[in-house]
Formats: sequence, C-alpha cells, structure tokens
Amino acid sequence: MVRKIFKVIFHFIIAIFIMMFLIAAHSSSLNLLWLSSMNMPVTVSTIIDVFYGDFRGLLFGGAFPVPVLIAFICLILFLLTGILRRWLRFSPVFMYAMSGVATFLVVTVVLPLGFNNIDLIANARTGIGKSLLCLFGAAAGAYFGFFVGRSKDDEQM
Amino acid sequence: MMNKCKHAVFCLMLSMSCMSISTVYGFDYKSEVVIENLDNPWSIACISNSDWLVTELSGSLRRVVNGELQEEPIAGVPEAFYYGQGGLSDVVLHPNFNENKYVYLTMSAADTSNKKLNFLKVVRGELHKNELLNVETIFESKPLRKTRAHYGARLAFMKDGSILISSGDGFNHREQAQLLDNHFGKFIRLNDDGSIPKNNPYADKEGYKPEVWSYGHRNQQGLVVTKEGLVIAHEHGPKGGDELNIIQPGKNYGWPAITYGVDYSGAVISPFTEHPDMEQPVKYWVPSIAPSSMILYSGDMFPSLKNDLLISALKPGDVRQLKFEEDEVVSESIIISEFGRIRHIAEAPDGSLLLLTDQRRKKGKLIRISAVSEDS
Repeated sequence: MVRKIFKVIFHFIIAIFIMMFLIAAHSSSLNLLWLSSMNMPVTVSTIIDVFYGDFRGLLFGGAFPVPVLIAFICLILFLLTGILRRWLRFSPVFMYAMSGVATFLVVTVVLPLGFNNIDLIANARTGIGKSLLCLFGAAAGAYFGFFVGRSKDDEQM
Repeated sequence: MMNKCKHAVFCLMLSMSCMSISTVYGFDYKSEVVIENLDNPWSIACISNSDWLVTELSGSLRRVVNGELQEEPIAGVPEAFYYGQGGLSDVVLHPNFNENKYVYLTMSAADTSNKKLNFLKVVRGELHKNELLNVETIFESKPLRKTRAHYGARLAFMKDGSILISSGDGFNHREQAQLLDNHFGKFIRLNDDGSIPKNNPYADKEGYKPEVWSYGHRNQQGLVVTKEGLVIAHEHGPKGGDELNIIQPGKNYGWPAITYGVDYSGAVISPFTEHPDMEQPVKYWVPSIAPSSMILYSGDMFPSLKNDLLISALKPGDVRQLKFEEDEVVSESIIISEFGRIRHIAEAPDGSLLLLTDQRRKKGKLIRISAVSEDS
C-alpha cells in the first residue's frame, strides 16, 4: 500500500515536471522567435540561457508559485478522474490525458476571468498558445495514466 | 464658559489625534488626514490651496473645498469602465484653467458594441461650480483590449501647450509596444483640443499612428514636464525592472525587447537589458517599488526638496526623493513611509504635499503633508 502511494506521488511529481518543462520550452521558443524577429542578437548561448532561466524561473522564481498552482488543479482533476474511472470504461491514458487538458483549460481560460482577463502564463495569450498548453497537459496526463492508471489496484487515483 | 473650554480642549485633542509630526532623514513634516473613505482615489489636482479635485477609480470626480469633501460628485463626468485597474484615473487642469475652466480626465471606457472590450479614453470639459460642461472626447486608444490592466492613463501638459498621455501595454499586448501602428505601450502627444500636432515624430508616416510620441513602454504612471521642457516618466516593470526614463520624441524605450525584470510567472521576458537602438532608463528598480506618480517639487515649504523628483510608490508604500542632476539620478531617499501604498502625490500651491493612499480592500485617504511650524 505504502509502495503504491509512493509510486503515485512519484509519477504525479514527474507529470508536473513534464508540464513545467514543456511550458518552459514553449515560453523560451516563443520569446526567442519574437526577439529574433525584432533583430535582437539571439545566439546559441542565449537560447540555452533563456531555456534554463525559464525552467528555473517558472519552478522557483515566480511572484506566484506556478508549479504549485498547476499541481493543485491537476491533483483535484486526477482524483476526480480516479473516481470517474469506476464508471467510465475509457483507457486510463486517455482519461488522465483529458484531465491534463482540463488542468490547462482551468489555468488558461477560467483563472484569467478572476484576474482582469490577464493571462497568468504569458504563453497562453493566444489561442494557439492555449491549445499547446492543453496539449502539454495531455502529454503529462497520458504519462501519469500510462504508469499509474493501468494497474487495477490504483483505481482510486 | 466651562463648557466652551471643554469644547475647545476636545477639539484640540481631536485635531491632534488626526495630525502627527514626523522626522525622517532630516525631513520634518506634519501630516494631517484631510479626507477618509475615498473610493479608490487615483489622482488629485489643485485649483487653489483650498479647492482640490480628486478622482475615484469607481468613476466619481470629487471636490474638496476647505478640507471638506463635497457631498455630491461633480456632475457630467462620462461613465468609466470600472474593473480591475480600470476606471476614472487622472485629473489635470489646463495651464490656463482660470480663464478657460478646462479639466482633463483620463479613464478606461467600455466599447459601445461589445461591453467586454475596453480602451483608454481622454476627455475634457469645462468646470462650472459642481458640473463639467461641454465634455468632449479628445483621445481613444486603439485597438480595443479585453484585459483590464495597464492603462498608463497619466496626462501632462508640455511646455508648448500640447498634452502628453501615457498609454499602457494592456498587459497581454506587450509585444505591440514595439509596433507603431497601435497605442499599446506608447506616449501619445496631442494638441489641447485633441488634434494631432504636425511635428509629431510619426505624423506623416503611412501605417504609423500619428499621435505616437515615443514607444516601447509598459505601464507609465508618473509623468513630469520640467520648466525647461524635459519630459521625465516612470513606468511599472514586471517582477523587477521599474524604470525612470527621460522621454524624447521618436525614441524606443525597449519594452519588452529589453528589460531588467522577469515575468510574474518567473519566466524570462527578454534576456537582453540593452540595445543600441533602444533607450536606457536613467534609473531602474529591482525589486520593484511599483511607482505610481511623480512630481517635480517647486514649492518653498520644504527647501530640502526643492527641484527634486518626488515619487510615490505602492510597494511597500512610500514617497521617495530623487535628486536629479544633468539627466542623472544622484541620490534616492525614502522621506515618507508611514501611510502604506501611496497612489498619488501632488503639490499644493502653498508647497504642501497631498497624498492619496491606496489600501487594498480599504477606503483611501487624502493626507496633507506640511512643514512643522515653529509653534507646533
């Protein structure tokens, strides 16, 4: 039982890391593309610096804790998915992937309604950006579903 | 007789309870809470030593006469879009106010066809008694925005009588600050009637907004024009990177291609802090102080402040004195820090300072700062 709980927690943390890694990569790519279009001197070392800065900054440097916010919403939705799996016969990979999508729908569509319509994650300012973030949520959710949800013992999560 | 004495003592004690004397870094002052219970006060303009106009973000223009808040707001003020950081913002008197009675107001306003969209608007009207008459719109920012943040919304008169308006980047539209076909992240220069001066830097360039005076700004809420015509402005940075700039026509101030701050999420906005074609701030703050307004003190009441910049700040909440020599800031000191978030600072004709506080979820106050007289 304890081993199972640790397994779930481990894969949940990895899923959040996957999300944060993809958000950082997305943020860096968008910014660097725009900066490059403005004739700013983007070099290989700039790319490495920006990606490292984004990953570290998003994890630890925000005015609000982005990973905690995402993890909190994700945790609620994964728990809900675990309950729904008792009645719905979809594959766990699909169901947790949908939970990941829902996590980013909450972050990019619902939360801004309470914050003067401003997007808390800059990458989410466009429709394409929002879609990509949802895709990242799906990837992280699919990972979690693949490693955790397959086991019949783990139906609670 | 006894009752009169008791009454006098009571009044004295009451007035002393509202007034305090402070000394910070050799700057002696007494403070007096003139008005409480203002609804998100944003800006103050002095008609005289005893007649002031105060805007409340919620949409009211209030008049304070002899320290008394007039019960009814000034009539005739157009409806403001009061959400988030939007609402009725700056109030500025025309330099010839005594003759023409013109009052200029900046505000956010809802689009008439789609109430979810809004924009920055500047109006002017003639103030007669307690009513604004002949109100006309002299500027509307384009394109419309969905966000309710970063309006800028400061206004100042330039030496030649034209007006300069700060138009913020709308938060979500930061990259637009680098493009000249829109009003996001710009200083806008207009004649006092709203027409476009022919000598604006982009007045005759196709595809550019002819009103634009400078670009690459974020959320500029402090604006001062010196007697010599020098334009000094400060703007909120993101997480870190608040800036003080000398504004010149046609110049690019860099946001968001160069910045000393990072995104609120912690992500990098730009790894660059300088570029040959972009202006450097004369001063920047990391971490942010959230500068909210600025004056160039010209009064005689506080000789130690004369000709210095005074900046009000929201974070943690103070007034700073910046000594400014030959386009450089040579010193900075906090002179007032006891009132929390300060939204606006103004100088009354007698040289006293007027502060508007901006406590979140609490009513704002109007506080008068004056010199400690010999007998106090």
